[in-house]
Amino acid sequence: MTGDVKGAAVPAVNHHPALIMRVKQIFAAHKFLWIFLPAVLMALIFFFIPIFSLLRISFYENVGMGVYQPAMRLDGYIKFLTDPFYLRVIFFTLKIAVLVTSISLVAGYPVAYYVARAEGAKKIICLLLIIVPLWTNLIVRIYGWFVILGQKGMLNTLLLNIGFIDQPLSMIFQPLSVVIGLLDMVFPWVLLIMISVMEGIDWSLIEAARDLGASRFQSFYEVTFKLSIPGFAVGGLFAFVWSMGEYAVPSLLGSSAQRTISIEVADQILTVLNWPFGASIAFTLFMISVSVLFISNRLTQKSADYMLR
Amino acid sequence: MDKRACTTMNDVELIGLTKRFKDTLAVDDVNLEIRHGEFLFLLGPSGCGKTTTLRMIGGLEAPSAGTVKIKGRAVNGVPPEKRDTATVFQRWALFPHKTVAENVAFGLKMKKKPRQDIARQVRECLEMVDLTGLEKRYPAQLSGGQKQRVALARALVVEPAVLLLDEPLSALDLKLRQQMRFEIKRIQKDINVTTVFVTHDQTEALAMADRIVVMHKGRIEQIGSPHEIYFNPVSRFTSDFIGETNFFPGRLAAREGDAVVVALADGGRLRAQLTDNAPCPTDVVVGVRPEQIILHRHAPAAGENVLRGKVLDVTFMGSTQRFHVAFGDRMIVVEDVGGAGRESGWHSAEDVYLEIQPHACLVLPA
Repeated sequence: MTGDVKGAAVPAVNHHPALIMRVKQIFAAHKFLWIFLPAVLMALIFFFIPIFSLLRISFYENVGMGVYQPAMRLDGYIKFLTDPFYLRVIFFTLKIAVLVTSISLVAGYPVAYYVARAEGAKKIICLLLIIVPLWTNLIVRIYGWFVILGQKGMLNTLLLNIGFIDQPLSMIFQPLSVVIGLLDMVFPWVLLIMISVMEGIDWSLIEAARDLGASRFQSFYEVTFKLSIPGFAVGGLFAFVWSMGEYAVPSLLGSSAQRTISIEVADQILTVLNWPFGASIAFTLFMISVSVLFISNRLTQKSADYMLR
Repeated sequence: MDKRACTTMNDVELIGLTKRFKDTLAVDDVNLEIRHGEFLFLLGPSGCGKTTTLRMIGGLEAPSAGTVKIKGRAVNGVPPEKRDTATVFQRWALFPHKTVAENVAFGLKMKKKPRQDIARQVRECLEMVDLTGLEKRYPAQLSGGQKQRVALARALVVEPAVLLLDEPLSALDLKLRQQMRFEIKRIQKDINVTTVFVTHDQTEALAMADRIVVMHKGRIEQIGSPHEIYFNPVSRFTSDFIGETNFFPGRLAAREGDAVVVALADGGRLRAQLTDNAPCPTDVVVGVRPEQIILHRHAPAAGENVLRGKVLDVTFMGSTQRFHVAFGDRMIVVEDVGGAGRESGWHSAEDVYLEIQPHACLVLPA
């Protein structure tokens, strides 16, 4: 849908007469295309133009103190992808994102399965329990974790009081607290995505499998599990991309020694005032997310084929 | 026939089979024996318990009481995967993520058959249902009729002792349904598999069955060949459900050997030929099929078994003509097949004589 319109609207900027003619013809022939115009304008102004200028700045030369001049340099990219300091940042970010993604998928699957098969009031209550936390502001939730995980937080007090530990554990400003904070953020969404995919599974298929000689486990694996792979793919992609790019959670709940890519971007642009380098990092992050999207798309192409009905 | 011979001949036995869902009695004390190679139909309106009965044979539903025996062995508590049955589901329940060949191979794969055997059996089965060449398609790429064939092949490939079909044709259009009837019947006879077919479509049952079990409110109403069920229904329900029937309520006026005379509530008398010498209740209904009524403009010579009515409307149906005729307070449906001795050129509001032969009158308890 957007493919059509994007192809039509973007070349118009080039002022190529033949193309403009063609676009005019297309719009004359398919009047309904006009209804996509607001969406296309939104995407153009708030997404494509900023990304494009980011890409342009990432090749520029840094003069210092927030000043840069047009150039065609790969310095920023080379530095970010070869310097051991930044490689550690990339690796740490990937590690956190993979961890958050795996935990939310593994822990989310049984919950999603249960909610997808629940009926009536039970289902509504379950969905409310998932959705209600999303009504709370993210920053408020992050500070909630300070209260729970802090040196004198609820968890440490509890463990000290029951004599389980005799020194408070440092649970905050750790990779652990970053993972917990990210899970808090992405888990409800991953659940909702997986539930919606699993609700689409026809449960009579399980009966058919059992009837044909599949055991309880085999029928689960052959039918339920294989048909929920699209849910895994979309939910996992969502968790991964969001964890990779998230800024607030790692900067508030993480330690300053273990930085993520988005913290590095903010630092370069807001503190160091090196716009070209910050743009290079940001664009690299963007490309990582796009490639993950692309790979996951390719992997689930088969399921997309049979889902087309 | 002694008891032992009986049990070895029957592939399926249902003894006092009962299923209760919360407050409703879905299946109520069903007793049935299904012979080897038989094509048996469970026929009834929706909610009569026919599908639940089928699901209890297949092990997809546990009976509240009673016993299911397959090949003489009680299988209560045996899960579906361990029963020698295979089901074709109403909406076919094909695995959307598996190709046609993978769908058909599924049962054999679960039974851990060697690969070459699976490939050969799948090929043979697809050939039997005329689907060769579509092995690599996904269910979403098939037409309704093709999906139906895949579902049939998937069930047959495991060579079940009993094949269970749950309204498999109801989602197809009429033409395809009629064609599939013949094909399923042909395949069933070719491989001689004991088959239970659930349907609410009486024409389907009449056309395909060796034996029909008519079910009503969880109970068996009548068991018999299609011919028996159609011509000798034992109850008003069966008579009404199978084909079309006009009912004339009345009281028994006289009994003359194997015939009775019924005084109709709307006036007039009908002599009816009984098929047996069983006693007849006083309050009865006389059932008459629409095609058994002959219309006359003038009083026929016989004088007996003639009722007077008024034509309400005439509908041209192609091979037949349908009449709605007012008789007393009720409306009678008459189907005129035409032919010699039948009058034509009827119009509405015309007075008419309805002639009904005694052998066409079916006396049923009211």
